[in-house]
Amino acid sequence: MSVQRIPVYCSQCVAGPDLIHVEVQDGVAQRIVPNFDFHAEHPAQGRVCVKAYGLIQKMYNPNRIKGPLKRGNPRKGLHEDPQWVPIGWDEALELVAERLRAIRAKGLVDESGNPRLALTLGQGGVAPGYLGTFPAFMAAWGPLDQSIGAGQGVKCYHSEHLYGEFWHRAFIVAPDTPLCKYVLSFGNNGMASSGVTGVWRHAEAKTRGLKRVQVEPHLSITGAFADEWVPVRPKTDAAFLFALIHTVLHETDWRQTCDVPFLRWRTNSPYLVGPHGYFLRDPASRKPLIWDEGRGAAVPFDDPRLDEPALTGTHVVTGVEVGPDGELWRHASVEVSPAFQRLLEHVRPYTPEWAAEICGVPADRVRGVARDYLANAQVGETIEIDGHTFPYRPVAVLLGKTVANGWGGYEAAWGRTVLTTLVGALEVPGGIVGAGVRLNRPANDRFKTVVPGPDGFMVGALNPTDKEHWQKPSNRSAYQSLVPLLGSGPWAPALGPAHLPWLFMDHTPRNWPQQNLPDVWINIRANPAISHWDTGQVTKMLAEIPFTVCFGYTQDETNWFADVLLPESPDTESLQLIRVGGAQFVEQFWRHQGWAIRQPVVSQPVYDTRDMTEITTRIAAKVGILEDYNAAINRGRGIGISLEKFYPDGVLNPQREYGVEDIWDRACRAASVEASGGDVSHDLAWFKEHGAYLAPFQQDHWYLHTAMEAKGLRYELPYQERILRMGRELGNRLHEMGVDWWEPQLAEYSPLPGWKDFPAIWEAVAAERGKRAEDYGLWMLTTRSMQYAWGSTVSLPLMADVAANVSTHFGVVVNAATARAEGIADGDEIWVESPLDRAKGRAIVKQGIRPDVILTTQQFGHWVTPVAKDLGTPNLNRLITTGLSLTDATGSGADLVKVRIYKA
Amino acid sequence: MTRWGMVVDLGRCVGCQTCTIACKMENGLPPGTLWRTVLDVESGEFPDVNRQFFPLTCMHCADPPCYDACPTTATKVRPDGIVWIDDDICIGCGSCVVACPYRARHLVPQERWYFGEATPPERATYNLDRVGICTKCHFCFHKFDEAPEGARPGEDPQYTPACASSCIGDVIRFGDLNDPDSTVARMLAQNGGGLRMLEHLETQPSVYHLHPPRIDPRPPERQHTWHGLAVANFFCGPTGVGLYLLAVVTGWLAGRNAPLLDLAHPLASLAGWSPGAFSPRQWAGLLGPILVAIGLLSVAAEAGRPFRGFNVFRNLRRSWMSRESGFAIVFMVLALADTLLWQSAPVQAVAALAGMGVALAQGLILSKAKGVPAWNVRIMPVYFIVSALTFGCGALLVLLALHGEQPHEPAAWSVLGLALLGADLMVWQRYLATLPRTETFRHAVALLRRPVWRLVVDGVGHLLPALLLFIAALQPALALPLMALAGVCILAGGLGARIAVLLRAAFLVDLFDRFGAVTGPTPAQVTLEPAEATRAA
Repeated sequence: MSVQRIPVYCSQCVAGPDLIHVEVQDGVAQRIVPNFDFHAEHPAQGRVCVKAYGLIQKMYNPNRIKGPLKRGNPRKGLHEDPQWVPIGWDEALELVAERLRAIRAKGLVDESGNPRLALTLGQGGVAPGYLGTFPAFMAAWGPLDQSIGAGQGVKCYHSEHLYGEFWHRAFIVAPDTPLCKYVLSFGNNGMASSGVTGVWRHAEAKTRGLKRVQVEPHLSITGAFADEWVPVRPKTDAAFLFALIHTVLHETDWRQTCDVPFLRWRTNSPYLVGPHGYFLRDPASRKPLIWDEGRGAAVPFDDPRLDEPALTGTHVVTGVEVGPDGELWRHASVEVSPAFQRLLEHVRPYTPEWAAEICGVPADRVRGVARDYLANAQVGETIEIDGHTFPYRPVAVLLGKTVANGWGGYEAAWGRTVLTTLVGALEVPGGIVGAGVRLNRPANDRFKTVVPGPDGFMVGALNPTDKEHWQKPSNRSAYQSLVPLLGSGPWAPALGPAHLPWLFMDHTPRNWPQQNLPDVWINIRANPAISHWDTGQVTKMLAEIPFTVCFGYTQDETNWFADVLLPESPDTESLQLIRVGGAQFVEQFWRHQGWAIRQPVVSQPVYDTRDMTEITTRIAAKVGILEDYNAAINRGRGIGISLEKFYPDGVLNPQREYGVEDIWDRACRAASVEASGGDVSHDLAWFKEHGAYLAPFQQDHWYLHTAMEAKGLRYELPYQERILRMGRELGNRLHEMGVDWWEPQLAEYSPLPGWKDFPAIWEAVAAERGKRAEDYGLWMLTTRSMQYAWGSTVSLPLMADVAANVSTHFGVVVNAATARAEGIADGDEIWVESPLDRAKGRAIVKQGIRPDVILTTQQFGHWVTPVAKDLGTPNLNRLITTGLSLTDATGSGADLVKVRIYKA
Repeated sequence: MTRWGMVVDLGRCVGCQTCTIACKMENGLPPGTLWRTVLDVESGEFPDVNRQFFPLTCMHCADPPCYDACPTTATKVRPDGIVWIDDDICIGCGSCVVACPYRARHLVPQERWYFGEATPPERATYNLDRVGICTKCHFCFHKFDEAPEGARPGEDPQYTPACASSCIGDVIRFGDLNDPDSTVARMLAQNGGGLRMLEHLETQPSVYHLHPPRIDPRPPERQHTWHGLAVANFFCGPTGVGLYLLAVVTGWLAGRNAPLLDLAHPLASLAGWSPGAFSPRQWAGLLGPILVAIGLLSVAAEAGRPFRGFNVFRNLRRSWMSRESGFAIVFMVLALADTLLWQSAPVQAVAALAGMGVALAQGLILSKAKGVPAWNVRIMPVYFIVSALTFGCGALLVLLALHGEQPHEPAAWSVLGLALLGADLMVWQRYLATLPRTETFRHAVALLRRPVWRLVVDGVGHLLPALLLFIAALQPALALPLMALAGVCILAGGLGARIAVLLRAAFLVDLFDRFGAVTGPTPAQVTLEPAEATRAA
């Protein structure tokens, strides 16, 4: 029989989806090859990531869960064998539905106001590509607690996500690589994490002459690709950035080196700041005031006659300041300065010499970076794209994980964005651009989220902090209550302080609603016992949850605690349509956008598994919410496209239980109508044959500048008046409740963030646990692996076979001098011990790491997951404590911990 | 004429291993077998460190050492430069593996599956014909050999090797080096020609590298293709042929002059046989071929497909392993027949010459193994000839002593032994003083100069037996035990020297040795000799 090529997508990480062909012969899927049908449209000529090649083995892996299982052993614990009993699908789904019906009978929320049903989705932002219609079930269900995390928040680019969306609708930030000339990267490991398009774009740019400076404690995959490596002390990146801003503003003539028109007209630099730190406003209109040098008077920011906004100086002005909770200060003839003047004063002490001491990097190196940055910024130049003239600023500053999350993340994100703003490289060709929105809506069009607000900035999806609208805790992480920047969209719970529920379910903090365990916890593809901090705390709580339903691929450390284990059909065995192209996550910048399909590549699943859409529909019917479920699908939940809007003839009859193919056939028709602007309507069969439908996407839509110009808006930079106000209001709300344990977090809300001794926050952990800080002299960090990112490949021996070529896999990287001092040789078994626990691994002795740092790749340390458990790599999560002291104001932490090492 | 090749832009590689896995998938490779890989190479010292990812594959050399080394003609070179292996012929002897300096050849010793048992896709894609033999990259020629007219391998992904068409950094470019309009030729022209790995080994690779980084010498790694069984061959074979040669030559000498020992009786009968019934000479006539046979059987046992062993004779034209086997067969047949049937001096002479051919061929197998610098030296065949005689002498001394008959002229034996030991030690020292072509060789010699190997090779293998033979010459009464002891020392030291050279000092050539320091001709200047190119089957 001849080879059939079945088009599907691989979305095993957020840097995709990648379009692939599965070659099938004689009913056996045999090979993965890139889908070169989209060679011309795809930004990397259709090529696909190393992980995609594991999909065949993933499908036929004999260690998969081969059918539904129920727990035979009523006791749960690390050492309690679940004693799985194979059951049929009907029985399994009935077991689940019975528990869910019981919740509906009892009431969806418990006495504390928390939902009784909790749901955790694994693999970071990947889940939507594999959930089938499950999101429609979530919408139909009602209050559902999605705030119990599996590592997100503390592991992601958290401050970048939250502040990035706030400032420039950038859930993630990417360089405009095809036009960029200079990338300054603080630990951004894009060559391992930005997917195929990222690597392709950067390789092209490097050949073209792009220079990359990598500032990071160890020489990462991306460091290897860079032109220069600056080994900086962990968690001191903000100091480096502040010193760069200082150098630009105080050691060069900023009127020449910076983009003054951009600062004047596209930022809040000229906004006058009152004595209390809030904008000085027009007493009548309450609009922020700007000093117009031409007229020698303060005028509202949107005064059409405003001619020459002052950036510096002190001006005597009359106006009002609006503080938290409507507090008002009226000033008659008060001396005020523009925000930019405040910035100048703020960064004055942050000299390169000051930073050198903190960062462990010579001051001259800091100055050299600042010089190169300015030299490449090409301030004043323009470029023509799609008939539109843009400023051309080919410099980008990137942040990586651990830099952009946890304490110091706000300061680093602010420092980066201000440094970008100074030269006008924000959201313009060559500079940094946002890739996708997740907190603001609509998620599929960044430009539509640019909605003018009263102060000349964009309004954002924020959680209110005023007394009337502030939302009291209503889920276990209380993200709406504690993190105003998050908003309350579908992505918000995952980005909240999602680690806190594990702590709070164990010990409710003072003056907080009693935190109970959920009645039922549904866990889809998450493995918090491995991917979450403080393994001991997580496994303790897992054993206590009354009823756990896990959707699982192999037996793993978390589903070990499940009551029912459901194997859904994975990547190449089930059906789904998702969006592809446009300007999306990481570096997916296409000149096309549309929809791509994933479909079963062989007629029968390899094992007794079911399509997620089928499972969901069955559960919805059994629970009695089919009507709401179908209605949610009609609105586009789960299928990603509204049937009501784009295929009204195809809306589902709420009472009927639809088959998988029927639902997705309608989705295909609606999606193709939407993507083509109504020109075509392709059915499921068409998508199955062609793989994807793509329509052109304009490059000028890569740059928010287009929308900001069109709407005459300013970026809310460098001054953070709103942040200051929301912090004060949040403090008021919490204090009204008697909450006193969020004080350090409240202190983060500052209008111009300054340097704090961030490393000391981690150094203090030893003392908190009654240990001596000086006994833990090394920083342990983690790094990304392209082969394993998002974890869906850890149980594939094929992946281990090729990943072993990357020297930092499968062990603990130790600097050669440090290893020598400890008597450790390459390949020795060593213990890594933190004040919390210890873990064993193989020493990988290298030069490309600071002597005070050790490193491990990804998150391994499995003890149940087949294959992964034999890879001999310790997990940082076992060594790190989940606590409020390591939680920043956005509700995130960072992957670092102080440790010591010794030979095992 | 087309010459397929690759240009690898090292500046663009991020070490993602997509090429590695795409190759595995395209070619159905079993666990642990990677026809291509991306190395992760660190150079310098903190904080001045360079980390480089380096894609590595078969270089499809214009002068491939594997091609000459292959005894079976399984290794073929196509007119378009592709070096490939005919799965039906290869016996898995490993001689090509050690001959290749690029680590591009991969023995697959047994059936292997990722989960212990075969999954359906593995069963469907894994070619079981490749078990027990050597496998390697063939530029995915199946992807373009059947391509329609007008197809552009290197440009059209479906007709391009999987590594190149999958590479997400566009690091690996494939094309016709001889076509000045091809992308690869243009890239080389624009970048001043590109660099080839181990240029000084004169293999003329078809893979060029752009933007070479600074790469420090790598920590040495030992070859793991040949093990103890190979040592058995390289020790037993020379010992056997040396023993035979010395036995017959001393026999002739004794026949014409004063007999050194009681020369052979014709074999009276096999019945009523006892070890004492054979003279040392007869023993040598038997043991010589037997030792060579043990060597050959050891090699066969180490080969992945011993039942195809006859294929080893197919490449007498080029391969010294074929020739070794040929000489060995001639030697064994003639020596044995002569010992048992004829006792004819001309036959003995031919057998002894064939025997020396075995030793010479073994030396040349090693001497031409470009993968292992400790072997890849000119003196190796000389060393094998001299050491064959020395080991043979050691064995003969032991046989004489075991026979128990006082030699007529013990001093003559001492003189012979001392002369051979002197010559052998001189050659050994000359070997150690070889001008290193690679850093790896320097490292190997440093290892061989360590006290332990000096003690074994110089001390036990040479000085001690020399002393014993010297005393034996002065003290005829003690001659027999001293000769026996000297013989044992020679053999022990000789075995030690073989272990030292074949296993301990057998470091693989540093892939980056002198990388960038030596530049070679441009592709246009490299032509395949048509005579060397055999047509694809």
